[in-house]
Amino acid sequence: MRGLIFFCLLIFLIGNVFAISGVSPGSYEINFEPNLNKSFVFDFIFDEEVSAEIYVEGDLAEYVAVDKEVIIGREKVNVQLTLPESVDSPGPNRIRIGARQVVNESAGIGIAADVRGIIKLEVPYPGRYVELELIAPNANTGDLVNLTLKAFNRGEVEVNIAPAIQIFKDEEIKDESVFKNVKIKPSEMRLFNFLFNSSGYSSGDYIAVALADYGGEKPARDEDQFRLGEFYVKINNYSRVFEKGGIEEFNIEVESFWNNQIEDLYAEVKVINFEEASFVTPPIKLESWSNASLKGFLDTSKINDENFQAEIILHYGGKTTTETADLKLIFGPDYTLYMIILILILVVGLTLWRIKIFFKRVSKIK
Amino acid sequence: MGRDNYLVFTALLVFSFSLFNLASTYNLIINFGSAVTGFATDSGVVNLTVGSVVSINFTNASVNFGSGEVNSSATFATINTLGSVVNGTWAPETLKFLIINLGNENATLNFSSGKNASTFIGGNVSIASYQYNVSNVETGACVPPAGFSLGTFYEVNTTPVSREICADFLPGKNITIDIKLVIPDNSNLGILTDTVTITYEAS
Repeated sequence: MRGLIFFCLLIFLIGNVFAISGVSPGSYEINFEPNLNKSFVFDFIFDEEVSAEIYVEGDLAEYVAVDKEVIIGREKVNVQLTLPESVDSPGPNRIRIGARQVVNESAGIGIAADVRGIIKLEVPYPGRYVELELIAPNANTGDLVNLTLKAFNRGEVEVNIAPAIQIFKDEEIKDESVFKNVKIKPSEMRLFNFLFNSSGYSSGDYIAVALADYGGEKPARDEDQFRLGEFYVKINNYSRVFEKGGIEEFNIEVESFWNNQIEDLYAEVKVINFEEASFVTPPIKLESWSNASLKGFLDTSKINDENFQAEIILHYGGKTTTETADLKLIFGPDYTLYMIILILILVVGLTLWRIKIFFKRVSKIK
Repeated sequence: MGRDNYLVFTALLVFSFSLFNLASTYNLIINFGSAVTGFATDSGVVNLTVGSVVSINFTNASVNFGSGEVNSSATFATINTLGSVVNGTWAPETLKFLIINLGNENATLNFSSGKNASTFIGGNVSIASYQYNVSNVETGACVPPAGFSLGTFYEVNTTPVSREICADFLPGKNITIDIKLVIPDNSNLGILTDTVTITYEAS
C-alpha cells in the first residue's frame, strides 16, 4: 500500500537578498587596568535593509554596555567597557560584540550571518607569567631564515629572561641561539630576532622551539614549523584512462617544493611510439608550496594500442621533472560509423520519398 | 603645359613643407624631456591607515532542490548539491553555498542550524538525514580545527548548537558548503524551511 502513496515534497529556494556582512575593526586589544572606563566603536556592515540583533557574549560580558539593540544595514555600535577593581579570569579574555542577522524565514534552505567584533582583554596572572610567540617563516635552502620571537610578560611583576631558540629536524637539534638577559615589565612585550643560516641544510620540514626560564613552575615555550624548499616540482597524479577516437583532456597534478612562485611551468607529454599524439600544455604560474593542475589535450585517434606509455616532462626555470606514465585507451563506440549510417538512411529515405512522389505524378498524368 | 608645371611645383612645395613639419615635430618630441614645461616633480609621504575588517560574502546564499517526490518503489530518496538524485524525481542540483572572505584578517567560522533532520525533513528518524560538507575552493583557504575534516559530510545537529568548521579562513579565499538530504517516504510534506547560520570572528 505504501508503494502506492506518493509523498510529495517541496523544497523551495529562499530568495535571500542578504549577501555581505562584516565588522571593522575585527578586534581591539587592551590590557587590564583596575576601574578602566573605555569606549570602543564597531562598524557593522550588512546589506541595506537587512536588520541584525546586537548582543554581547563571552568573558567579562557583564562589564560591557552597547548603545543599540538592533541595527539596519551598516551602522556603528558604541561599546562602553567599565572594569572593576579586579577580576578572577587571568589570561586572555574575549568579549564578543555580535550582530546576528534577523531572518524572515520563508521556504527552503537559506544562510545567515552572525558576525562578531572582539575586545581582547589580557588580565595579568598573579605573580610571574611569561608567554612566548615564535614565528618561523618558510624559506629555501641556503636562505637566511628570519625567526621572530615575541615575549609577553602576562604576570603582575617584572621578569628577567634569556630566551633561546632551537632548530630541530627529525628530532635532532641542528642549531641554537641564546639571547642576552632582558627585563620585561608587566604587560610589556620584547622582540627577539634570530637569523638562521640554512646553508648546508637539506630541504624539508623543520621545527623551531623557543624556551625562556622566567622563574615560574616551568619555562615558557612555543614552537613553530617551517619548511626549507628546493627548486623542485613533483608530479602527483595524471589522467590515466582515455576513450579512443577523439581529443581527450589530459590533466597533470603538480606540487611545488619551492618557497617562491615558479613562472612558466609547463608539461611536455611525449607519447611513446606515437610521436604525432605528443603535446605540450600551456604554461602556468605555480605559487610557493602549492598544488596546481596542468591541462593538455591528447589526440587519441593517433594511438592504436590499448596500453601505451607517455613520458611526462615538466619544464620550469631551466629544470625538468620526468615521469613515465602507463596509460590506457578504451575503445568506445565509433560515432563516425553511426553518423555515416544515419546519413545513408536519410539519403535512401529521401530518394524513396522522391521516387514515390514521381510515380504519383506520373499516375495522375495518365 | 605651363599649368601642369605650376601644379607639379606646388605639389613639391607642399611635400617639402610637410617633410619639414614632420622633422620639426619629431625633434620637439625627442627634446620634450629637457624642455621647460609646466610639469613639476616632487616627492612626498602618503599617510595611509588600513583598518582591520572581518567580512564574508555569501556569493550563493541559498540552496534550491526544487520540488520532487520519493519514487514509489523506494522507501527513501537521497539528494545533494553535488548533482546526485537517487530514488527521487528532483532535478539534479549543483548550486551550493559559496562563501568568500572579503576581509583582511583570518576568520574563525562556525556552522549552526535551527533544525536537524527530524525537525527539517521529518518522517522515519532512522532514515532521515540532513548533512553538510565544507570544502576549499582554493587549496588552504580554510584550515579546519582538530576533529573536523574538509570534504566530509557531517550531520546537521542542533546540539551542539554551533560547530567550528574553519579555524582560519584566509582573506580573499572561498569555501563551499554542500548539502545532502536523505528523505524518507513518510517525510514532512509541503514547503520545508531552514536557515543555517555562519558565526564568524577574527581568529
